[in-house]
Order: sequence, then C-alpha cells, then structure tokens
Amino acid sequence: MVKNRMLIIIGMIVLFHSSIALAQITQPKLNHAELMKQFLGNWQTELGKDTLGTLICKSFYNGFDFYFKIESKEKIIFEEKTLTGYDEKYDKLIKLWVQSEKPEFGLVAVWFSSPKVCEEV
Amino acid sequence: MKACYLTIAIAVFLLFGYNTIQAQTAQTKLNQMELMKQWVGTWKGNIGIDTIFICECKPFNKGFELYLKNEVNGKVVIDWKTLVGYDKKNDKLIEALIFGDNPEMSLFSMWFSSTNKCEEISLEDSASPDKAINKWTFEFKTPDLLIWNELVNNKTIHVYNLNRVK
Repeated sequence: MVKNRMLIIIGMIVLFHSSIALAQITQPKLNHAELMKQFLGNWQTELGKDTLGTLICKSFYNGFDFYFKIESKEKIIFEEKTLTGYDEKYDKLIKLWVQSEKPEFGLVAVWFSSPKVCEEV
Repeated sequence: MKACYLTIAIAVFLLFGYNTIQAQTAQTKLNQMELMKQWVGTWKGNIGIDTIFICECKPFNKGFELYLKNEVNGKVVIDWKTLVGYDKKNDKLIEALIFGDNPEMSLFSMWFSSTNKCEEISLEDSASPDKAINKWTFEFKTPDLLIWNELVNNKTIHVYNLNRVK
C-alpha cells in the first residue's frame, strides 16, 4: 500500500515537471521587431503642470525611428532622436539615441519580456 | 674652443629635439563632432551605370541624422538611414544604420584621422581597426567635393566622387 502511494507521488512529480518543461519548449519565441510595431504612431503624456511629452514613432523597413520631445509652455526643453533595430546575436533590439542634454550618444538594449511588456536597459 | 663648439652643438640639438616633442604634444586634438559638420547638406554622385547615390545629412542637437539612397533612372532602388553620435570614451563617432530591408541594425565606428579625412569600420572591428576587412574613407577635397573610398583588406575596390548639391 505504502509502495503504491510512493509510486503515485513519484508519478505525479514526474508529470508535473514534464508539463512545465513542455510548456517552456512550446512557448512561442517573441518577435521583438514585430511587437515593437505597437509603438508606431504619436503618443502624448502630461509630465507636469504645463509640461507635455510627445513621442513620435515611425517605422523604417525593419527598424524604428523615434522622436521624443518635452515642451513646457509651448517651448521645447528636451529633444531626443533614436534609431532602433534588431540584433540577431542577442535576440533583442538595440537603440542608439542622441539628445539635447548630453553631448554623447547612448546605446541601450530593448526587448519584449511578454507581448505587452517592453523592457530597456 | 673645440669643446665650446661641441657644447653649442649639443645644446642646439637638444633644443631642436625638445621643440619637436613639444610641437607633437601641442598638436590640436581633432574635434570629431565639429568636423562631422562638413557632412551637413546633400551630396550626390554617380556610382554606376544610371545609378545615382544621394546622401542627406542633417544635424540634430549633439548628433547627426543621415538618409541615403541609390536611384536608378530616378527610382529609389535601395535606401538606408543612420544616426550618428559622439563616443566620448573612444573619442570617435558611432553610427547606427538600418539598411533597406536588412533584418538587423548595424553599428559602425567613425572618426576623423585628419581635418578632412573621415574613416569608418564596423564597430565589431573597432578593437583592432588595422585588421578590419571592410573599411570606408571619406575625404573632403574641398567643402563641396567628397571622395568616398571603399576598401577591402586595405585595398581600394571602389572610388566615388560626391558633389555637394545643397
């Protein structure tokens, strides 16, 4: 009787782990460049009193062209342009930016951790 | 008397050597961002039978954006976009490029080796630029004439003349 119960428990553990492994294998790989298309268009947000942030995203073949500006009392106080494209080696997107505040460029990695969540470092 | 001449000769020699070293040290460091401004405008050149290359360069804050295209009989056959910024760590310029429908973005390292000569290699080759297989040089012969050299294994394979049109 005890032996039978042991076998059932072991069987359940094996089944549970194989299900997890199978779920991981069958999970579709995220297409970062495709998901990035969710950014296309014009976006606006209020960043404070009389301060407006505007993001314009356009596609260029398989890449993306971003322009971001912050306006305060109808005057541009910050501007940034970026070019984003896919990096096959790391299966991520890379983004190069130049902006009004820093004399240097910036290079960051961008990826979708789920179809709706985009992360950047 | 002989000893006096010898002393003078040594002093002159040392002075000459010292001045040379000082001149080398005082050589002005090239301002990569400032020199990059020579690109600003529109450049055009024949790069093949009926093929025209056009490059439009605009400044954007502390960077530059370029749109480049090849036209055959007035029709765009391929176009690409780049964004150029300053890389302080390496005192060079860095360029991100989306080339036509290539699925990947490419990164390049670019620098002025003299006031009128700009050189470019893939960022992957930047650790050993001398070993880069592909290299491009751009020489501003005049403010309106740019000579573009394409090199493979340090041998020139193509030379294109670009003229400023704007």
